[in-house]
Amino acid sequence: MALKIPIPGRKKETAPEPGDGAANGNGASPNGTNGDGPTRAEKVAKVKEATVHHGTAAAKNTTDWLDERVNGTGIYTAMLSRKVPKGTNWFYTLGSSVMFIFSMQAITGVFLAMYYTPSATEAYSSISHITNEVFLGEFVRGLHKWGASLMIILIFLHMARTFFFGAYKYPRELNWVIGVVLIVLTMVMGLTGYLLPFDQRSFWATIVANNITASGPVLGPYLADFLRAGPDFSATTLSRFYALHMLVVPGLIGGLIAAHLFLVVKLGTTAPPWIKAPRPKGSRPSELVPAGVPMVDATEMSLNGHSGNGHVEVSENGASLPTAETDGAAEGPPSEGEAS
Amino acid sequence: MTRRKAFVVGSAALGGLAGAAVVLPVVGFAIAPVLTRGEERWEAVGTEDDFDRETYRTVVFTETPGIGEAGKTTAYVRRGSAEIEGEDPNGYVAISTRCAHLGCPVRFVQAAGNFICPCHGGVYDFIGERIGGPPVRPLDRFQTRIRNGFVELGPRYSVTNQLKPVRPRDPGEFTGGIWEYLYPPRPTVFPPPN
Amino acid sequence: MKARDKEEYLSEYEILKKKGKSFFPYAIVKDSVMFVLVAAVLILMSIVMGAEQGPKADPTTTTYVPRPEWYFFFLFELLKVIKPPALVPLATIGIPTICMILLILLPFYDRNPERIPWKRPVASISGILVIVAMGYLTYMGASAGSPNEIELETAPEFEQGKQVVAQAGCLACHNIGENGAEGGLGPNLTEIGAMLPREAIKRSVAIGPGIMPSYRGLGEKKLNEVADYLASLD
Repeated sequence: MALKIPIPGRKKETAPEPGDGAANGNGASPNGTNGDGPTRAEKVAKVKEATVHHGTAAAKNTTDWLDERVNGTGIYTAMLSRKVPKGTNWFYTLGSSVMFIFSMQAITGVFLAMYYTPSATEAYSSISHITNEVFLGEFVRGLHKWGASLMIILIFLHMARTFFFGAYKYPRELNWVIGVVLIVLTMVMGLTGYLLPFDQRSFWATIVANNITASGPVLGPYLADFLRAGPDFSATTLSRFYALHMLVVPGLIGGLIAAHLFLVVKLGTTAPPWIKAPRPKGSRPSELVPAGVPMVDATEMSLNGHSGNGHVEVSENGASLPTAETDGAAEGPPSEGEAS
Repeated sequence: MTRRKAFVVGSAALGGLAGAAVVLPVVGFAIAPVLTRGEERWEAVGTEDDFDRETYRTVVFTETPGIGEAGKTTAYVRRGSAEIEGEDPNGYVAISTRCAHLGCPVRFVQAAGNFICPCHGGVYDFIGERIGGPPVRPLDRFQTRIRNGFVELGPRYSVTNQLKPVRPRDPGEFTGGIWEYLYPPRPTVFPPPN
Repeated sequence: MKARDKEEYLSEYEILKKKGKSFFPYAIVKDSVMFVLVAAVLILMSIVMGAEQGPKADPTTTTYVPRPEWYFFFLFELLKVIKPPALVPLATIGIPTICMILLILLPFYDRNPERIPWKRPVASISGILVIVAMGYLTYMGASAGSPNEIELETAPEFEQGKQVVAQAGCLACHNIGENGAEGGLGPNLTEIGAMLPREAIKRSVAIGPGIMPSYRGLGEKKLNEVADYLASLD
């Protein structure tokens, strides 16, 4: 499903032509009162009208203005008014929950950064200051700390859902790969953030994690030296972890979430695997294809428009009735159309 | 070469050049600590009379200067013993508390004469050789010397299972054999004592 | 996945999608409910559990017992379970790397077009086994006690011996109750008193049979306390 480029003058009914907006938006008060000049009562009425209706009219105008320039309607159609398949249930909220909690982490993180000092000598006291003295300090730090745990739980649940629903299969393989990388990056966030409070627990956990890195053959020792900025915990170790935790890794996660979402919008969300479209009897083409018949190449298929251009119609009872276009696509083996 | 191809190559080359001009110095800036070695430090941890042959004394000294408490480390120090093979009775032995498995702090247990690690259950005997658990080599040591009657500790070094000094390495890394190549030398550390 | 299966999936999906609803607002309302739920849980966790700060990082400690954050417990436990030193790089780098590669490449080796969990038993059972294994390792890692302490209750007269056992490093190889090296080098001592008489225990501690080191260095008094305590375990 490609984002549609808008053709001026051929808009959907949700986006009326600019100029119509004022008339349509507040039809109760036509602005054609020019002539002899308004009376006092008319002036009052106009001011009143403006205060009451101006907001909606302005919003409408702004939407139209923006729409004309950034094609908001197209984005709306692609992102929000896209269809989700039948049977979409609560399990499908896990992914967006992960994104929600990532945004929460970003927000609390940014504000924690305002009070935090990433230095080996001052980090601990700045955390004490946040926890004990800053207004709502412990609460905000708690949000960030427990948000990390919650994000890990939700991201693993999301992965489990994807796994058990078989949602990583064709055509969504690439999105699975991006998702696994996102999980790894989330764990990296947990690891790099863990050092920052600089208490015993975080210090020793980081030492062990770094030594795990170092035990990798060939590159491990250098990578560990890079993370520590030297052979031992050093003056810039903490600031390195801080930079990774709040700049590098979140940047990567943000970019990959965008790619992940793009693919979700492009390919659509899956239906629960046990939900099947009702079909006429005997229409299981995979069972009818005799062995040894060469298969149509996948790219050829998609070239023929098999990616959701509306070549399959839904009849009254919901059965698939391929159009002539579909038959054209299946030159070699018997197509679904022939089988049914 | 067509005009179009020349433009493709040209834009890629110019863009790459502009990017590299900024990125390369930044990468060098970030990895410089991997290629440089700090200054050799020696720190006095006590007089000669402070240490016994039969047991260890715990000393705290600065391994990385400039970061206060976070740069300190602990060593167990004793006099060398003629009864232990390969030890100089006039020298000193300084054993690092850093477990050779993954770097947790080991503790010397007086009663048993052992070092034990609280993380994954590593156990070392009196001279720091592994006797149980997952550690991959004996405990690291620090170089020692005597200056003006004071015992001084210097750079860290690792030892093989035969207690032969080798260049220091991180916990979890084997010494000797093929591992010398799988864990190549790092420019950040000091050579072992001879 | 064969071209035929791909086509079948796409057309099936197209029908289901046609019969579905618009994401906004019909699906997003579920998401929003979930957001509120997540935010509520988060706020509740923050208020109830707060953000406690431990003692300041101290690289010179010799008594601290390091433990990772809960979501790394499975790795922590894996490192404890894999004892032979020769396998350490396997536990630290090997197994996690292999698992990550297997996970990333999942859609490329699982080419079965079937998606219903109970119709692809191999995948589903492997998935459940991985979850159970991770859960088990996490639980074991979470409940692993310190090797310098014994949490098992004991009669007051044996308290002294218990202290010595805990401090002498016995738990680096042995298990007593929840503490110590489960599956470690030495036998589990939780019920040792029922298996060996006191004198045999004392002799073993003093001599150090097999790979166990001798603990004669404890001295006669402490040896007796240790023997008394261990003999009381049954």
